[in-house]
Amino acid sequence: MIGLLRPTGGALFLLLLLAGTARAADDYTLPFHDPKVGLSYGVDRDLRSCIQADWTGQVWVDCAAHWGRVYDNHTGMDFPMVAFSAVAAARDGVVVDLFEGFGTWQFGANGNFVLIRHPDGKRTLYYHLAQNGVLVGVGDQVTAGQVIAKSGCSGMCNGEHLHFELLAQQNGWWFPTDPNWERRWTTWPGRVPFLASYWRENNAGAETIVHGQTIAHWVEFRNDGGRTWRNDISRGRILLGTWNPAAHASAFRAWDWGSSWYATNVDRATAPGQVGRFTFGLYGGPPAGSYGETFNLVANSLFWFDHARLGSFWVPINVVWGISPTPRAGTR
Amino acid sequence: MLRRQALVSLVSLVLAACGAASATPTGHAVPSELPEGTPARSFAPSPTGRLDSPPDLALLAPDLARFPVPPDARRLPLPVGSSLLARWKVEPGSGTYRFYRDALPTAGYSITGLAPGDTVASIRFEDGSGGAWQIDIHGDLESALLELGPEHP
Repeated sequence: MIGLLRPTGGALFLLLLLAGTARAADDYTLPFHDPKVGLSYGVDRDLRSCIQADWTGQVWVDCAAHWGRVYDNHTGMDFPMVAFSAVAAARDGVVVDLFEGFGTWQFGANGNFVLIRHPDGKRTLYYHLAQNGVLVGVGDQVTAGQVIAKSGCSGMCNGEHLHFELLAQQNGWWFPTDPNWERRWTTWPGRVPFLASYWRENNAGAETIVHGQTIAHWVEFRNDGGRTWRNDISRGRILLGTWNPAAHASAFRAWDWGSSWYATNVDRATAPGQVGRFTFGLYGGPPAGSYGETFNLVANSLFWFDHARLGSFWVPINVVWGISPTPRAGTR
Repeated sequence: MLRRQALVSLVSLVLAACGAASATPTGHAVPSELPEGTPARSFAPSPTGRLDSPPDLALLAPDLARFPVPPDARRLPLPVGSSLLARWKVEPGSGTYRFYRDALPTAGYSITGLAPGDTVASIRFEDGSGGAWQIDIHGDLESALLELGPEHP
């Protein structure tokens, strides 16, 4: 975003360098869900012409663009994104401004954007969005990881991408800061909000259930995303639901399920990098036979996880008449 | 005396090496600018693919006569001391980025990376012999510049 703020170059330069001295973990995650998206160009923390301070601390005394690092006077982070990809809120907040009237590829000084105010007083800006691609309204409360818009290439844009900017207020002015340099992400390096991989489960992933009875099953996934998996009642808590199709009523719903498709929350809060367990009942309701039930993780009301990364998780279920299941140990 | 002779020999060697270095084409050698309409030198790949000594970019570079160029592009002279192979003035907008994203594979080049941005965009690509090149687009509302050169950090 060029031209949002016009403070004096010297003052901005000093503020950007000073801001760079605070380097602590914060509560922001990357503003999209696709873990394959990388950084085209980051923030130039030295806005003097043709002197560039990138997010690694390297200073370039030239006007050239430096791949993956910086280009001169850049105030945000550019992430290559195919048009109409999901753009996510980097942190909880309130939408304070937006525009979506420009064409998705309309070149010009302005473009489509969303501006969010966060509890720490900072603001995030999501720029170059698709025409009519904003999915929230001014005044809406948004949750970290919530899809707020679709990406595009509106405004001052050379190739489809998302321009993400973190703004901090100083003496009444809003200044761009560098989330990489200041370590504003929940993890380092920053991660997408919701990502998981299959870890293990009980009974080698297969269950035998006596018709009319309920057994307990558990499965573990590693939290590869940037947000802690919560197990409270909040929006965005992580739960296990039926999949393929999403949220279908299960024939194996047990008494402990939250609804016909919602099997359970994560057993306990799980930080990024940790393994979270999901324990839930399976009821042998259908007649004897071989079945299966497919599950996926969901950030409640926000986002279904990438099922393929969960090993396309499903539980083979064998329902039998009146024969006790043989206990088995091990992992799939 | 012997020590003095050795010193003189060493100085001579250093001077000779400096002379040789200045006469050897470097990795950042600047090819002479071709006038518009002049066919570029034909592509001459190294027999081994990779060279131990710094290559002459003018020999390894993509064939400019056949290199895809947007129809609105106007060739510009290269700045003195530049490591670029060519430079053009193009229309502002993301059309140039899209043009190369489509045209490079069609022309037989392999795109190895895309870095879109606000006022800058870059595309990295390779030719058949493993040469690594980069297109940088610098544009604002009024004008845009297209630069072709070796891949750079």
